[in-house]
Amino acid sequence: MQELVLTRPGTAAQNEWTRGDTEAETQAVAELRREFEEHLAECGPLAFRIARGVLRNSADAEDVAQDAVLRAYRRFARLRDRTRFRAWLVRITFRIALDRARSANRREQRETLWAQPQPRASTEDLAASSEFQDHLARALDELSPKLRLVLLLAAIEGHMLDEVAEMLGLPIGTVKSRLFVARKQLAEKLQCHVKNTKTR
Amino acid sequence: MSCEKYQDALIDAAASGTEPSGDLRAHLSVCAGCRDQVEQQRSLFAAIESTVRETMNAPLPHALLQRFEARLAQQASAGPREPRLRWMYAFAGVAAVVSIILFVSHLRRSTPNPQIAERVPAVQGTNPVLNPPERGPSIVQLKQEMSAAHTKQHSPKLSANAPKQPEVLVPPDDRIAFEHFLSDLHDREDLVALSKRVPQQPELRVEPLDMPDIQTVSLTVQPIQEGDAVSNR
Repeated sequence: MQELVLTRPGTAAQNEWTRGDTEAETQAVAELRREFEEHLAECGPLAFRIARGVLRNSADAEDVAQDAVLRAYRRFARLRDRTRFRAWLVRITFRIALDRARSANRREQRETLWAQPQPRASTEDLAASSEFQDHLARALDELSPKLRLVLLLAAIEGHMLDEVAEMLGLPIGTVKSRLFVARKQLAEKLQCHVKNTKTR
Repeated sequence: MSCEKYQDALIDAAASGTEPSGDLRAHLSVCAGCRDQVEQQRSLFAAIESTVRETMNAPLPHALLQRFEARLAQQASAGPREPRLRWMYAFAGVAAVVSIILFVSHLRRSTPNPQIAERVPAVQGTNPVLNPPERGPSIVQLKQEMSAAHTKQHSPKLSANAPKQPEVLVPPDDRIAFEHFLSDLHDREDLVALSKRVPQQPELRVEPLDMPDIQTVSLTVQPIQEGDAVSNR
């Protein structure tokens, strides 16, 4: 027995339009996703390195880099100049990493206030290199974000200063100046190690 | 003294990584202490540089990109809906707040003043048939009119313009209620119809009764004797 179905006139055409829209939308999303993955393969490691440079912890850095990648993915459609993706992702990652580092510092301070005082190792017990690294990490934390980002980017292998300048949208003279000031500030804070340091 | 003068220049030279020039170069050629210090500063900068480079260029964790892509895929499956859902949640929240505000304001408006609420049923209860509750004035109206009457009564400007006639002191709310009662009484068409429906009774005519006159012919009036008066006592 044939079943009769009454349809409103124009509904079928409307469904066709809707289906067409949905398919086009799906294709656009897939295209966007493919493009993003290409960029991600190129810039993902850089995001991780920046996060690790700030946080000095691989697990936290990966978490932060993933957050940055997801945030970038959500806003990728709004990025007009796709050639700026690298710089964009670096900025997002750096900002998230700084936030994470600050909140971690606050948490650490709170816990330190309530915790029992730990027996501290004597200065002789600490290896000179690890002490230097600790001091350097602290000095890096005290650098201003713009100096810090330039220093970290310039330290990544294969990054020339002109690349850093292009990535940050700055003149190369500004990048050199910031790098110089950053190094000098670090050195001023580490003067106590002057006689102990050796070039690696 | 001359060595202290070159301290900043020494650090700058070490920081920039360039060879010293001019006065500093001449000073370094004659001062072994400053030469030693320049070397120490260069070592410090080299140590900073190498430590930062070592941190930044440490090998990447295994399968980092695969984990990124997996997280991305996980997010992408639920991702596109998120902004819409967020807007829907925001809209629902705003709608809930607006409805709560409207409901509360409606409640405040419809909550009767306890004093008026006590008086109004008493006034309406004088004749519930003629003044049913649904046709009576609303409490808000009564309240407004009472306040207006109160203002009128106590305002010196208005009382000065009032006619110089003796007033019957009636509480304003009772007067207003009575006015409403009268107006409602006039508006009640069903009462008029009810009064028309009642058949008119024929006028009763009272006929005078025929009664015989009182017979006073056989009555005799005698004066009271003294002995009768004593015996009566």
